[in-house]
Amino acid sequence: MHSRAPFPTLLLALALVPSLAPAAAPAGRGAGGIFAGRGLPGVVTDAARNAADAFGTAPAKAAPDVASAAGKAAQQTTTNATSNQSNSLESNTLLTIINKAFDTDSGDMIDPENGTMRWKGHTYELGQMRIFRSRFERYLALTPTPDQQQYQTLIDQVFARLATNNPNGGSEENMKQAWQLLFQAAEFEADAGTALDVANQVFNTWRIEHEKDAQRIAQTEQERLRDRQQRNVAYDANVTARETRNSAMDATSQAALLNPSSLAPKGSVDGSIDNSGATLTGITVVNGTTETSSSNTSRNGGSGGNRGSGNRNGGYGVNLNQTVSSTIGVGTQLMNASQLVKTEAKIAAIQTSQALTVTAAKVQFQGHIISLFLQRKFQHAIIAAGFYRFIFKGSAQDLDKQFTKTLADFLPGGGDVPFTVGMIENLSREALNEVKQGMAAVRANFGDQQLMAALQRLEEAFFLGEFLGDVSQLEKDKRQKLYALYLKIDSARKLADLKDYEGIIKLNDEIGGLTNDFRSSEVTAAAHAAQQMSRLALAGAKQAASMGDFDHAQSLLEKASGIWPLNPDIAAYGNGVSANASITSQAAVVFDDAYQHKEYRRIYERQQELAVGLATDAQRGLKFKEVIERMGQVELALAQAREAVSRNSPAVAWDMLTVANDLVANDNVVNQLRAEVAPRAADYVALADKAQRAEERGDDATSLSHYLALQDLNPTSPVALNGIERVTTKLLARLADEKNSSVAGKK
Amino acid sequence: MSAFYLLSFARAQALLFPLAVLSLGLAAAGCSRGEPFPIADYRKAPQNMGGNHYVLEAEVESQIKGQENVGRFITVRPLNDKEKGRVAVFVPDALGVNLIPTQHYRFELAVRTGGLLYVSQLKKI
Repeated sequence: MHSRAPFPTLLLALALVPSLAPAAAPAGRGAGGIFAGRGLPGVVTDAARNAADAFGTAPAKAAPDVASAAGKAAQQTTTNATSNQSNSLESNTLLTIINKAFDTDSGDMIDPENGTMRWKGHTYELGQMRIFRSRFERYLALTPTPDQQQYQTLIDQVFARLATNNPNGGSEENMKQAWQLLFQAAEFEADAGTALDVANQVFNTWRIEHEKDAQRIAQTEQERLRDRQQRNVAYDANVTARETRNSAMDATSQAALLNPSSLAPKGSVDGSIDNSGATLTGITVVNGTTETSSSNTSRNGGSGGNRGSGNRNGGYGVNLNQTVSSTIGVGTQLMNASQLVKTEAKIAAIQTSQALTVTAAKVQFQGHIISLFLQRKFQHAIIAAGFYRFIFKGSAQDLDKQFTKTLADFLPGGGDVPFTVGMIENLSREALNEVKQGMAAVRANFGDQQLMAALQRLEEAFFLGEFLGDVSQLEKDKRQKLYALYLKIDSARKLADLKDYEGIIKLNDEIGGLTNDFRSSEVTAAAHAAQQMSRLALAGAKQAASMGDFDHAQSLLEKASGIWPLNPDIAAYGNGVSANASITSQAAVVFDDAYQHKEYRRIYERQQELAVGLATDAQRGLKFKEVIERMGQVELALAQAREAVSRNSPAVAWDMLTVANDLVANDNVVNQLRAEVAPRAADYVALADKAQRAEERGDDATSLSHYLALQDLNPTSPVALNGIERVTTKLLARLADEKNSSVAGKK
Repeated sequence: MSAFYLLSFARAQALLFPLAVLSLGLAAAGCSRGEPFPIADYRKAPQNMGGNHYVLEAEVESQIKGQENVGRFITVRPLNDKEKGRVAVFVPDALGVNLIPTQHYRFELAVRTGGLLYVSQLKKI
């Protein structure tokens, strides 16, 4: 099952859409099957929300459909173009679409993050995913070996000999044949020597069994010795008892003869006779068996000597306090008893050893079966289980308790049921069937030209049945096609990590041409959406920059870059910004020089260039604005002057040029036109000149007269109008002063 | 003696009164300063006429600018067809007249320093 980590920080983080957020993204890639499993840097973006996880990181849950994604993207684009939101432009939706499109593993089989595979609730440790991926790639690249079929035939023969439905199943001959076949199977490359391991395990078990037989023989021998020793001891006891009784009887008789009154107390004998079970007829009962004393007598005939009393049960013997003479000495009796004890100990040791040996063999065999199963070598697990079933008796089919924890971890929920060898065998058979069906699906999908599905099924089958013939026998041409598709998908995923959408779109088309079930349109749409998001964010950045909001511009530029780092417009914009920086410094120099020399026209003519350059210069910006406005009025006056010239109204033209000249002195364009107009309006020019000079001299009344005359020539003349206004103001002021002075003088 | 003085005073009064009336009449008619204002000359060199007094019959055209308690500048156009163009004259508030464009007046002008045309008197005609 995929366990995908959340996305970084921030595909884009591209913050195309709030939901597109390099949620973030610093995240490990969760990944999808064979095309996933690599770590992610964080974009979201996230992210990427890094879309590094563009292929294989975004949670599948967060994957709405494409239309929804496009809608959100468009909406967010608008927002981002005008606002500096913290939303990442990274799109989980986008990434999910891409991820799903390039992820052939839709099942719950592979968990690349943990390097495990779950199958029917069972978890397999696959080790490092990178290694596993390389094995799959190698499998796709290699050609199936021709001896695969022979190998599978051999394995099938082993199965047949170990099958319980075989009439001769479990016979020594069948077992031996199956065992010998394992050696043949081990010679095949596909077997990788596993069959030899099984054969060795069986051989080892058999050897243990033989050891057990030898021990059983030894035990029998010891038991026989023990029986003999027991009888010796019993004989000793019987003899001692009889002789004691006889002695007692003799003594009693003798005493009765000598002193009958002393018979009773002195003739009493310990009840050992009853305890020993000995009879006067010489029959001894030992451990439920009855033997005649004659045989004991003959067997013990050589023992002779001075035998003492005593036996292992303490129930034999005579009352030593009583002076009794016996044909068997006490030492002999003790020695016999001691030998019996030793023999009993040996028998117990042999029995214990046997039990331990059997247990060890069983545990060892079970461990081997479990190991094969965990290695996903299901055929060998079944074979080993078959041998086990026939080697060990039915009551030994439960797995040892030491495997309970391992299996309980391996088979969640199975702790309540006793684990048996048969359970492992069944699971192995189920896996074989699963792989067989998976490979059938691969071929079916291949026939339908649905290579994505075929690749997905093959991935699942391979991970489960990597060592099985069904998988290894896939035809060469199918492998080649799937391998080509695999490589392109892998490349596409890598391009997605880099957010190279142009490359993705191109490769996407190629993949779409290889298979019918690839969602190329979705991927293309998602890639285009991401590109559009980036462009819009960049447009917003440009707009913000033109308005002087450089912080916002930078933020949007970062977002645009996060969404689509390879956006060519971003590079162009970056170059423009660099050039802009140069313009800024140059603009200041140009403006200062022109402004100092009052060459306003130079500023006016380069206003666009200087506008960009001085956009961030507040002080020069104000001056620049003032110059541009003034030059705008000059240009308007020039336009009116040209119009007046065209209407043959040189006086009016001169007036306009005078206005322009008053706004900006020494403007070459104004001066040039004035030079053209002056001859045609000589009287007017002369009069205007008189008025101006009189005004400059302080002859306000004279100037007023000239301005009036000028106005007569051109009633709309602003020069005359302004001149009249100026000089009358001054005259009134002077008259007011005169009046005030006169009044003051009178007072 | 006193009767003689009284008779002499009466005779003298009888003789002086007609002379005074005659003098005032002549003054009012401007006979001594009633020279028509030469507009063309004035336009050429206004400052050259400083200190002169003229009479100008003209039509009030428009008011240029004024200042309370001081006076106002107006433009007038001579009634004499020979004289073309306009001139600006200053009408002091002290004259206390109401000037309305298109009205005809006889202005008594004094040419002040710099060529300022100062209206000393005016009469509607």
